This record gives sequence, structure tokens and C-alpha cells, in this order.
Amino acid sequence: MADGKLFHAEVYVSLKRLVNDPEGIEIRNGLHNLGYDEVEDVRSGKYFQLKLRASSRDEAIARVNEMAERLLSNTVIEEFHVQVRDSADVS
Amino acid sequence: MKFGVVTFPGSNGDHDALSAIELGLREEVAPIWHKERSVDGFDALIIPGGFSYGDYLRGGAIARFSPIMDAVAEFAAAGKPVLGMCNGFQILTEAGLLPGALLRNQSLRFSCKWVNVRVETDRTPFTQAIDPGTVLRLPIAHGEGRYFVDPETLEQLKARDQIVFRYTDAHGVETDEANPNGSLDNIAGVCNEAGNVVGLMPHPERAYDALLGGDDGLKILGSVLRQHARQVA
Repeated sequence: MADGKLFHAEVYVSLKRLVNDPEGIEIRNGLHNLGYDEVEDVRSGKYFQLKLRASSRDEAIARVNEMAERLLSNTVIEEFHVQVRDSADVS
Repeated sequence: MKFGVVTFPGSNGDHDALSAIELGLREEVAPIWHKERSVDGFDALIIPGGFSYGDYLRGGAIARFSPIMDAVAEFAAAGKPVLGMCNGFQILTEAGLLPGALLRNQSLRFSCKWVNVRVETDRTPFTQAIDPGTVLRLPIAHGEGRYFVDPETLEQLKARDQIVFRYTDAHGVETDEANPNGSLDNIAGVCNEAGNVVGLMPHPERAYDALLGGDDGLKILGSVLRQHARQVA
């Protein structure tokens, strides 16, 4: 196992704006059916939690971005957003 | 000519492909387990349909890391014929061997029926024996078949003659009704720039005998034999 501090990363993956999201549209319709008429738009996606070791937070961010680009998302159709926290900050 | 059919955990179209080649084409064929690392001795490769690795993450996303895929990529880079059908198409796009991606069907429903596709080009090994404009009747069975590329790549695909099949009605006319999954520009199949790697969502390997409802699939699978005959001669 790699040395370093423990970090918690969260990766959010969603379809690019350019890509039609019929799942999001159906979820929005469902919310409207429940009376939540204020909802204008829903985009669906995926959420990943990673625990990893890295020498610094910057290194952890760089590594997780690479992972998101190479596997967790398909950049032809999806975009992603990465958040990294120190393990000590996670309750 | 010897065909190889790659089996991943979760493949379910591999035996259809083996039967289509053995019984339909009457050519030599053998299965290749995904843990193998060589495709030596094969003249054409088939990446079959199914749900490799349970479609975890995205269809085809995990299968591309199987040990055999390095050999498949080398085989493709050498200009040899590779055909991906359904999940095989998804695997080839995830592996970067074909452009684009396959998304959830527009209807959000799994779609299992016969469709018509028009052959758009005869420059690939799997369409070289078919006149462009020919309409083939083939079955589909997928939940994630909506083809997508960004607008710039779409223009590139058109300019480079990389669109191989389009969904049409029985007369070869592109209509929204004939498009079973909301694919961009009615695209049912594409090839790489060189033309030797082809992927499509329909299942030619499930249409190799009139008893199955049709045998148009043999036109695609058998097309590759013409090139092989030329090479041998």
C-alpha cells in the first residue's frame, strides 16, 4: 500500500450539457407529479467515494482527477467534479 | 479463414456468434477466453454481445481492462478485421478503438425487436461485399444503444466515411420511428478511421438462418471472407 496521509475523495459524474438526459427528464416529471412544480431541471449522474493515500492534498486531487478521467467517467459523454478532504476532517 | 470470438464474464452472445460462423458461414471458429493474452492464428475477431462484468460502471467500461484486450488492440492496429456487436460495440468504444459512446436508450426501455439498417459504406471488411444503400433486417436487444458523438466528431465521421450503418424503415428511409434508441443521426454502426474495426448495436450473429427469422447477418459476417480470399490469392 502507498505511503502518505489518508484522504477522502468524492467524485461526481454527470452527462455533459450537450448530451440529452432522458433519465433526468423522467425524474423531473416524477417530481412534478408529486407537486414539486418549482423544479425546472434535473440531471442524473453517478457518485463515488474513494479513500486513498497521498503525500499531499494536491497530489490526491491530481490523482483522483486522473482516475475520473481515465475510468470513473467517459469523457466523450460525461463531465466530473472532484472534492478531496483530509481524513481527519471526516467524521 | 479462422474467426475468434472473445468471451468475457457476462458475455451472452458468444455462442450465437460461434454458431453463426460454424453453421451459417461454415468457417473455422474458436472461442477466446478474456484472460488469454494472444490472438495468434486468428484472421478475424468478434467481440460479442452480452453484459460483460454486469455492465458495472458503464457498458464495456471494465471489459476493456481484460488481459486479451491488449492483443485485440494490436490486432486492430495491424489492420486486421475486428467486429463488435452490441456490448462488443460498447467495449470497443470504451477501449478507444471506435469513436463515440453508447447511452441509455431515449425511451429508457430495453428494446428487443427486429430493425432495418441501411449499409452506408462498402469500405470496411464487414460491408465490402454489400452494395451501399442495401437495407438489412437484423435483431436488436439492448438498453444502452443510443449512439453519441459531439458535433465536430460527427462531421469528421461523415467526412471520413466512418458511418457504416443507419437505422431506416424497410425502404431505406431514415425516420424517427425507425430509430429504436434515439441514436444521433440514426447511427447504428461505425468504423475506425482505417475501416478495419467495425461496431454496431444490432446482432448479425442472431440472423444467420431463415429459421431464426432472417439470415441478413450472414452478409455482414461473410463479407470479410472476400478480403481474405483476395489476400490468400
